[in-house]
Amino acid sequence: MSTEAVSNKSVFTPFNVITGAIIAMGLILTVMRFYNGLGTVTNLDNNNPWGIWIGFDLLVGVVLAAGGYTTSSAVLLFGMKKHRAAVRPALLTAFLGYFFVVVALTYDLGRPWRLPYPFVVQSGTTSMLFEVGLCVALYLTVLFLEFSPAALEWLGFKRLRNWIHKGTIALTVFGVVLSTLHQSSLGALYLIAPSKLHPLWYSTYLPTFFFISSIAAGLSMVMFEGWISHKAFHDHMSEEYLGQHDDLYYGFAKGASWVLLGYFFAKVIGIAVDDEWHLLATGWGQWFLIELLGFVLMPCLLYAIGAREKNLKLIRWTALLTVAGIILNRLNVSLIAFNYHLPADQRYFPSWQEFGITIFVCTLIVVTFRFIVTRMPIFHDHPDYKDHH
Amino acid sequence: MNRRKFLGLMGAAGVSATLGKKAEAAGNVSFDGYPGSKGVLFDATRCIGCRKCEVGCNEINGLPAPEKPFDDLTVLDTERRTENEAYTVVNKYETGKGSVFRKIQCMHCLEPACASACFVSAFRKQPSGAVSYDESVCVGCRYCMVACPFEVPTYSYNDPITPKVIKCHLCEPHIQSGKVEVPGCVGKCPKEALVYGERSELIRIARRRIEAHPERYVDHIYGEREMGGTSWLYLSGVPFGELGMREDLGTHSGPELTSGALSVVPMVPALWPLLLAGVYGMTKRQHKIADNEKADAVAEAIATTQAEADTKLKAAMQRAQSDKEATVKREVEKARQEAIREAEEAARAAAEGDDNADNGEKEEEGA
Amino acid sequence: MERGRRLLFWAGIMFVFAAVSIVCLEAQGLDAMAKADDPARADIVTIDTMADFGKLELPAVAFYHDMHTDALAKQGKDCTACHKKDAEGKMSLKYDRLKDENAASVKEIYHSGCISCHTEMADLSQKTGPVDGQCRSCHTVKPLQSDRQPVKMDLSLHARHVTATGGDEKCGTCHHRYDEASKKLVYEKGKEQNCRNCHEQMPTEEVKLSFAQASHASCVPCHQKFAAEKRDSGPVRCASCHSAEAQTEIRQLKDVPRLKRGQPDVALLVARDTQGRPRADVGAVAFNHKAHETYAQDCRSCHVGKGSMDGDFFKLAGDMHLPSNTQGCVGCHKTRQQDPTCAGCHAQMKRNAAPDTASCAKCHDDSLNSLYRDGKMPERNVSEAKAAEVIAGRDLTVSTISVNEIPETVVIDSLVDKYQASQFPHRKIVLSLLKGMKDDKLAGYFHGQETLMCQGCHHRSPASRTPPGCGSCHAKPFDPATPDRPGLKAAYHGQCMSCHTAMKLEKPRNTACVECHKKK
Repeated sequence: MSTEAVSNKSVFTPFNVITGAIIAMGLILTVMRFYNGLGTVTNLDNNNPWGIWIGFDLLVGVVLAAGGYTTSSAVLLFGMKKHRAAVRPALLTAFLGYFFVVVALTYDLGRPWRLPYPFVVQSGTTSMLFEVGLCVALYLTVLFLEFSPAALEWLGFKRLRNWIHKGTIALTVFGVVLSTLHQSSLGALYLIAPSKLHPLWYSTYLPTFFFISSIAAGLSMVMFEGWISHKAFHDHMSEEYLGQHDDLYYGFAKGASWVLLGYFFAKVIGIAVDDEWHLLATGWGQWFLIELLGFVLMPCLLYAIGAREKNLKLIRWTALLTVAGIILNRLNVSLIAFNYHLPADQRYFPSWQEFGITIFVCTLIVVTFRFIVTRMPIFHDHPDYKDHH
Repeated sequence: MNRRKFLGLMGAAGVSATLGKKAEAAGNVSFDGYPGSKGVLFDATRCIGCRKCEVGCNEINGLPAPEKPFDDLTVLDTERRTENEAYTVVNKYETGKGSVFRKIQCMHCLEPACASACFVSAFRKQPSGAVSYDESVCVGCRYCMVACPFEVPTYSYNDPITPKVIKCHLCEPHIQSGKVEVPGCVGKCPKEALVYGERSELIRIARRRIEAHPERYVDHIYGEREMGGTSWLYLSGVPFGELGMREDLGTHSGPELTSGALSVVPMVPALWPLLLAGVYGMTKRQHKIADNEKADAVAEAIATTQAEADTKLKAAMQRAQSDKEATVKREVEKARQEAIREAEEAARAAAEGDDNADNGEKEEEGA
Repeated sequence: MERGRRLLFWAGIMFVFAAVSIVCLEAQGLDAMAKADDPARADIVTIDTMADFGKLELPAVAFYHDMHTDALAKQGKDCTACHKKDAEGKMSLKYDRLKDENAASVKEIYHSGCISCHTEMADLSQKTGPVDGQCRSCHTVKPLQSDRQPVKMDLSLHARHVTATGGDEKCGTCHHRYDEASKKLVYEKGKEQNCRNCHEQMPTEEVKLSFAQASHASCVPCHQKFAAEKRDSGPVRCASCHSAEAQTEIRQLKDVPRLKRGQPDVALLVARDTQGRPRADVGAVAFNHKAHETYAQDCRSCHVGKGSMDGDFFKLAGDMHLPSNTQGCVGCHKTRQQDPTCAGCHAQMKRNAAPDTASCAKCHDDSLNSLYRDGKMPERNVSEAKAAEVIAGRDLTVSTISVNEIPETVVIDSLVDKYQASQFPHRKIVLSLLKGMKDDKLAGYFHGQETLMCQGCHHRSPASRTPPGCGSCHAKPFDPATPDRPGLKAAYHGQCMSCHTAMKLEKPRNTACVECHKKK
């Protein structure tokens, strides 16, 4: 370390110091977790078997990685071909998102080394979790393949790269199928607990809600990441990427606005079908309305305005609002409105160690993302494959 | 890599998922439990809260001694739930009919939510009536605990290597090994508040008790239909809600709650690719048409430009030609004029004559 | 364009904000109302007069009557501040009017009357009720819990009223009857009825006043008149009659005189066929009417239904025998079984089991059938004399087999592997049960003699001086083949504990094992 510091005086940048500290903490917590068991680091108990490692790391992680399938299908299947340059960053974030979801999952599972058991030892095919697991495993593979050309270009494996590149469309279709299945299945996980999830959030349409909102989340996340990346990695971006950038925002904002509108009506229909209007007048109802009006209807309107007036700043902030709304929704379903019937002293609140691991995993994503985009052809085309579309 | 293998598995999973659903809910036939399966009837009007059932469970399963001894009944003053070291607990509830006690343990559902939720099928409803748990395959996802509407399973969170789900097993291993004839809790009950027997028989007993003492019982057997029916059945003299039991669980079993969503699963891989391929085909065609049109337009444009250029060149050539001719003509004319003029001048000079010979020389030089 | 965008943006924010705050306010309002749960009151008058004219637009008003009379009394005002008097000087119970003209006028009377008074007081900075615009403060969905208890005009209270209003000859002060011919309320000596015989919960076509209206119209003005004349008078405040606390303070006469309504001392109850002829196949029941008057406190406890008090009630045998009908013989006697003294044995008996024929004969005396063999009822004095004779001949002493024949202790040693054997104090328990029944005529008559009482514990075996022990039936721990028969342990525990619980015996507690089973 010290020699490095001598040789390279820019090692102690604020970014490096903070990430270094977080990673050090994460490693210590990792040891604690696997050496002493879940009980010592988490606030999980018998009433609250799932904490933020599922509620945030898994549910939010997966939905925010929806940018992969939304962008790739929009560009490659639905003909937004001119935004080709946006695909690779989106696929990369999706791949990293899913990869670290699995990493985070190993912390939460009691015996993570048995993760392949459902596929190789004994399958519980009636389980929604089986479907989630299968689809996530397959989709991670698909994302790996979809992303691999970038790595192979960087490494110089031309033939393999070209061979995989041929399967792009098939992989994209397969990716959409798998995403549809597991994004919705994550909502379906909670179908089995009607007595625990508050009726305003519980609905037989939960899978549909999760799927629709994942599209909005994917689109918004691509815009949000674009915004951040633009600030951080501007010098790694090609003219093509930068040139399409603004136009992409308008297209995606318009799309997201429509999707959010659909999502809003789907949620309202969900309330109407189960006739839960009276619950809106309760404390939970207020919380539900804040989510629905403030984080669904509001971004829907703002996106529409932003797209119409080509207001880039508004669109970017709305993307952030939408992402926050989706996070809120996932946390509501998994933690806040879950076990609502329990007395306050039996409710779950994460321990600092749980937060620590979650932050650690998020930091790992950022670091890996940084490592890859500064090296591989993500925001620009590799010079050898300029016209290889 | 092993994409093909995964694809195969995926297909298999899709098929078995549909079949699994079919076996349970096809043809609107509901599963009413294995014939002859056993259960336990708990009668809250008989229970005196002595915690002997807890003792029985503790002893037969070799569980560690509790913090406060079992005969310390002050424990009942706080509501408890099942724990890793206590597969069953008794709680006290103050009701309109005085203190009433309720025993809590796994209800052993006929169609258990935990079993339908488990992605390695670690939970199984046994024909004997017990819902068994197989630790050897458990991954530790704890989805069973999320799924259980009765909040029964617990988890050994503090075990780093072999954590497991813990719940009442209806003493199935002990009964099978011949150690006991009835579950530990049932055997210890001094008041026969617990009766072990065939579930169908228990329902008949419960009905007879209600009929004999309609003033003593609420006219409902909890567990007969709750969550699709449970092997444990409850009788009470006060509404079950007053005993901390949920009366809003409905009669749908756990598997029924997700079967709808599962049935849609095969549709997605079947229909999405067709749809997406169609869309892709359409957009691709559109792009192709657009490309072709563009190419045609370019070609035409090139042709037009060429033609224009040709005509222009031709015109220029012609103009150049005519220019040239005109110049020649003009030059010829000019030369002719010159010649004429010269001839005239020569004639005039000749006429002026011989008066100045130098002039003649000059003239010649000027031509 | 820029302005339009701003407008939309802020409109969106305002919309969300407004929606959320409306919901919050509404929810908090509901909470606040639920929290205002101070002690329940006995003086809530529900003003829903408008319901007579059609569907209510707003919820009925819960009016706290005592609160208003107290507040007005402080200002030196009396009932006339709100209630008008009719031509005869009788106070109307309606607010500020003699009768309900139409919806508009009634509404106007309440709104202007209430609100103007509240406003006046508010202008004087006095504590007062809701004023104009605060509709929901009066028309509230969630009024306070009413703790109003109905007033029980028992025989003691009735006797006090008889004395106060001028003795036995002045029944007409309160009792009246509607005469069809003259279409007037008249009084007829010897035909007095309970108010509720005509005045029901809600007014009807024939009877204009509901029971509440009729009783308040009779009681309150009379109490006021007496109070004004400085005589011993009843209360006029709502809570003084209708709160549980005030009712405990109502003075009880020691010796309540019997009502004088020409009722018999004894009667012969005879089952009749559909033509009204006495049935020879069912024994008549000699009934001690005089004794039952003191048990029942109120004629209506037995005399139900419409019509006169001439005794022709209970057309169906079921009414007399139905265990759930507490106004019939069997049902009423059964309520006595819930008395802790009796419940020890009776709570464990099947509720709806058919009685054996021997118990029929306890009431139905076949020997009395000779009185009406010809299908005609005998003269009243004859039947009454016969009934009196039968009643006098009944043995009502509580007794059982002689003390020496009762085993003193019974050793129960079936849990001897864990505890010492229990010394069950058998004789002591039997004697203490007998002591509880002493002087109880019902107990004395129904199971006072011989070994019947033993069957409280020694059930399901014929009555005997040496009944079989518990183990003779409950031998096995539990046999699924006889699921209704508990095993021995459960049988013992069930018998002892159920009896102790039903008799409300504090000790030994059900869970205190060592108080019965000494530690080894």
